[in-house]
Amino acid sequence: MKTIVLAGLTAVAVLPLAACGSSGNDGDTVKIGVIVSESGDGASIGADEAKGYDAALKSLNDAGGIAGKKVEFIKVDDKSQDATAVLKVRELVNEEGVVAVLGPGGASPASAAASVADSLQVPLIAFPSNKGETWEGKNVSSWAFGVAASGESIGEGCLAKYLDWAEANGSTPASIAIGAETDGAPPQYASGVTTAAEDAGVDVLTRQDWPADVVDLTPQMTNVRSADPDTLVVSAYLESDVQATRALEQLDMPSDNVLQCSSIVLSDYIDSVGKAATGMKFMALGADDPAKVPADFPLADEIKDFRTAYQNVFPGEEPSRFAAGSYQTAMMLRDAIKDAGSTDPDAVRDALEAFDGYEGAYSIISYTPDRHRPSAEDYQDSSLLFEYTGTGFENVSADAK
Amino acid sequence: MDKYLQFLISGIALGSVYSLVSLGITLAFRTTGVLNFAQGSFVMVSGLTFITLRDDMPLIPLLLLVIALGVLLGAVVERIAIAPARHLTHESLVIITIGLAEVLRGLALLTFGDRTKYTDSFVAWRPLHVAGATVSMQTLFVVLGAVVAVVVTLLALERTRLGRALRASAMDSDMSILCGVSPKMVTFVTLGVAGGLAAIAGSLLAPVTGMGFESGLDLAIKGLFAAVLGGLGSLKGALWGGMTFGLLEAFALFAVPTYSVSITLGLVVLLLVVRPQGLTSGTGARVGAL
Repeated sequence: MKTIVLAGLTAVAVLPLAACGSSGNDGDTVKIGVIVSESGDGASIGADEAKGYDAALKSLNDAGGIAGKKVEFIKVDDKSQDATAVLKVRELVNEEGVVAVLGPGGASPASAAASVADSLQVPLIAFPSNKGETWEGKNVSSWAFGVAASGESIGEGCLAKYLDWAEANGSTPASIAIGAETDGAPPQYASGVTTAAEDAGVDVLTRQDWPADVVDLTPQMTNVRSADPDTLVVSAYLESDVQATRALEQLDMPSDNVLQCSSIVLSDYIDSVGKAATGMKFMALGADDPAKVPADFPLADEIKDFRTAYQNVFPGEEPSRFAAGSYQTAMMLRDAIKDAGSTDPDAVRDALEAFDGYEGAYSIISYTPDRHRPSAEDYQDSSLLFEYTGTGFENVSADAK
Repeated sequence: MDKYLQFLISGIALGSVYSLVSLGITLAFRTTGVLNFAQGSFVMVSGLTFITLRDDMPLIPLLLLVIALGVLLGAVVERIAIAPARHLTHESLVIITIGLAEVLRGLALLTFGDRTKYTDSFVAWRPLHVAGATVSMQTLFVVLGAVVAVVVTLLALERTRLGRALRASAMDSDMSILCGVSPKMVTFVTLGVAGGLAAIAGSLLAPVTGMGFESGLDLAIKGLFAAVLGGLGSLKGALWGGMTFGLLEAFALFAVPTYSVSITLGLVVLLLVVRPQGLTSGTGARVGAL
């Protein structure tokens, strides 16, 4: 009897120790969870983001780690799915004991993961933060922070940047037309463009929408031609953006009064349309073409450091904006831990929320208690306006000379 | 007014391509009794081949090469997939063509990648401006090219010995066998011709819309709808069906672009409810005709 009681007491004493798992802050190592899409629809972007994390990890450890401790990334695959992202956050926190989570890289999984971060009370920093109420408003997540602005902010910042350029060149448009794809982020961009137009007193003469799988946009561009705007603003993903451009070409409409507030990789777009894009203006982040960022651009140093760190790991390769975004999440966590003076979750969370004008390789960030992603002004300040000359891109931003 | 003229031009251009696709489907149906779901994939593969080789070859030799490859593709598909399964039911043959479409899709993905590819128009001439509307050179080439292809095909069917053999087999295969027409040869030639028509469609379309490994399914569905709309089994019907479908699609894109596919197909279904035999009375459009 005595033996049984003794065994039972021993088990009860030992159990809590066994159930602890490892702490994310053991000895000389800081463990950070990283969620990327290695498979599924988001895999191609996930591959770029993974490279950004690889560059960040080397950069952090080469500089002595975080708070003097070596950094370890526990990388997992969310398979581009919300449900898997949720499971992975739980695994990383409960089984691996990470101090924070970076990612996921997909907009929808990131929103799903944010709600789990709230319930587990662990800081989470994701690159895509343009979807849902998670990142801004009355239902904003307490523990999740985003690096990308909302679609509306992106559109608003895009037109505002263009109007700055137009004013500096004495060609402010009195009217615009908007052409937008109806799926995904482009309708949000278009909504932001409309807001910026209204704020600036610019008339929106017509808005033409089209589905992602459209094969012929001459009807929509014909309607634009009939409206006769000073500027056409296009918000689309690559394939339908190319169709829109080809429709403009087929209808012999000018391209030099077109502003692209689209979600496209510039080099892929130009490869597809070539000289048909001559004269078009493009809103792009510095991270889209790090080699062309002017020295006096606000994020020039951060982009240069990122590019150097990236090419230390991937020599001769130019990084993508997605790599810049994931890299920034890691640097933000580093700086938040530094500001907090510890890896205590509450302190790190508070330090993140206090970011005001934080400058990263991807964007400038100013958080508020009800907005955990960049604002339209942040996005505008993080961006450049490029013009395609027919042979290359020229930075024509009014504020980056 | 210029807006409506522009939509008409757009509709005629689209309709011309759909007529070619639908003609290939109808030819195969008349001789084999099978709806060839792989016809759209033939167009897709041809279009991607055209785009890939565009920078390496002058236009005319490239077009001839792509057409020859298209004929070869149709003939090879007939030999390895249709001919061995000739004894199976029509339903089984349809399933085989669906499988073929998927195989071609996968091969295109492996060969050409997952991105939609684009190429320039045949010539870099400025568009024509007519009554306020704009007609690009490529649009003209699409319409003219389709017209020429259709006329040549119909003339060949009408005036050549081989064409008469194909028509005889389509009208009465047992009697045509008695007259010495080989059904194997008929199917072989028909699918070769269908492949050639698909190659012309793919080459004409590629500079307008681009082509990707996923493009085949969309074209197959539209080609099939056009063939049924025109009157399944009727060559004239394939042309009318294709043109009507193109005009309906242009109208839908103008009216409600977000739901253009649903509206187009819905209108086609409505037309078929009113006139089940199609615009011209096809040979196999009746329900239960199997």
